[in-house]
Amino acid sequence: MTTRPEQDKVRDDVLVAVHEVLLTGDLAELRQLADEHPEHKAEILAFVAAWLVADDDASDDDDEGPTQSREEVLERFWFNYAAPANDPFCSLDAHKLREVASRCRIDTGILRKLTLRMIDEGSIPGKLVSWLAEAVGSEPQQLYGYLCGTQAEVRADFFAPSGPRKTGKVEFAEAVRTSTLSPELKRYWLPNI
Amino acid sequence: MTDGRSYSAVQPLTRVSKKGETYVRPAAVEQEIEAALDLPLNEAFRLAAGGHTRPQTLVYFLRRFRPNRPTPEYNALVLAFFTRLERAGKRHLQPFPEHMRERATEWVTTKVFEWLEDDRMDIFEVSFKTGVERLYLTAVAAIQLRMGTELSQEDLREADSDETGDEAADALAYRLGQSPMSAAEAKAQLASVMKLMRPEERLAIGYVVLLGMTEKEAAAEMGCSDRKVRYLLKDARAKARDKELKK
Repeated sequence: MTTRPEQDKVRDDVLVAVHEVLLTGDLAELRQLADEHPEHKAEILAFVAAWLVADDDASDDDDEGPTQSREEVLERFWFNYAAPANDPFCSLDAHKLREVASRCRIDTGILRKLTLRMIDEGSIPGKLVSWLAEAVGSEPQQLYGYLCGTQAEVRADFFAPSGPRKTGKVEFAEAVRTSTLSPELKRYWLPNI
Repeated sequence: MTDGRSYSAVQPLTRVSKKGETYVRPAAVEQEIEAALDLPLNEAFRLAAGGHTRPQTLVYFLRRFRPNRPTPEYNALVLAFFTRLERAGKRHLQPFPEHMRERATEWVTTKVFEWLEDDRMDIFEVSFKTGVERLYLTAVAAIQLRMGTELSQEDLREADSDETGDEAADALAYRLGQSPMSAAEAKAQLASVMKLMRPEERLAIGYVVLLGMTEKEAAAEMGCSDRKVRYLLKDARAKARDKELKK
């Protein structure tokens, strides 16, 4: 996605402030805002005018779908958003990885599978992704984008007689069941077992 | 092995209002997001896309768990978001002709992508309705600036009263009372009158009564003559007076 001009972002900030004043501020504050930003006065006035004519009583109970086609919306969305795939675990040593696993209530076996993208990302509880992101100094969005990547080949497999192998990703629940986690922690992640 | 963490996995919001207060989600939304984070992500996506969660929860997952490629579950989330957005934003486009509504919808979609990129979507996690209003009003304002407020010839008719525009504006302003009030309160107080007004009359009231502009300044903004603004205010005054008489 192309970088937006700074003035566009400043204008958006000003209009956000105008909207906040319209919702909670007094009229003098509104006039002051227009005076403080003469370069955006036209946009401010147009925004206030649009707010004035909006029908607050109009119902939004409407079962119609989006007016744009589904394909069009999705195409535009994914065109704008190719998620990054940097490895947030690459700089962590063994000690740090053990610490991360402990903080996030998993064992190093599950963590290893996660770092190698061997677990189906859709089966991972959102809170584990959030905790992992915080533990490795990343954002959930960055981490999840990485986890969605292709399963990594295990180095040792290169030396195996049969050569490198890739199996399908496993469900998180299965990774927990076959892990070395205590029964209590297994119940924590899989309360129905 | 230690027991690990037990604190919330819900990420706090970071945007700050004009008054310096960090945006905060309602408690019920926080709780719902917390509960949804307990679930496998695809299950959380399905619930949110299926309308089984608040829209704020949908936006939370849309922003923070985007895969690096399209998946059916995440795509359903994207479509559900845009459907809810358009449904909630429709009322802001009702006064406008069809071709302008299409442009506005297109503009809103572009703006959503910009706001996602700039991380400006916090307001949607506080109040989806407020976020929609902010987005659509920005869209309408941008389009109106380009198109101008075009007033048709049929609107150019003489008002019945000899009252000047300033007198009409003063009379309307009197309804707002003497004490300072919020713009929202002013809109609410004028609401019963505003309902009777055409969009151009509402604009004139807004510029002159709410923003304290002169007729000339309002006319410059509206792209019409001072005389036109005067007529609009007189018409508005006449409608308000008729409404008072019918009480």
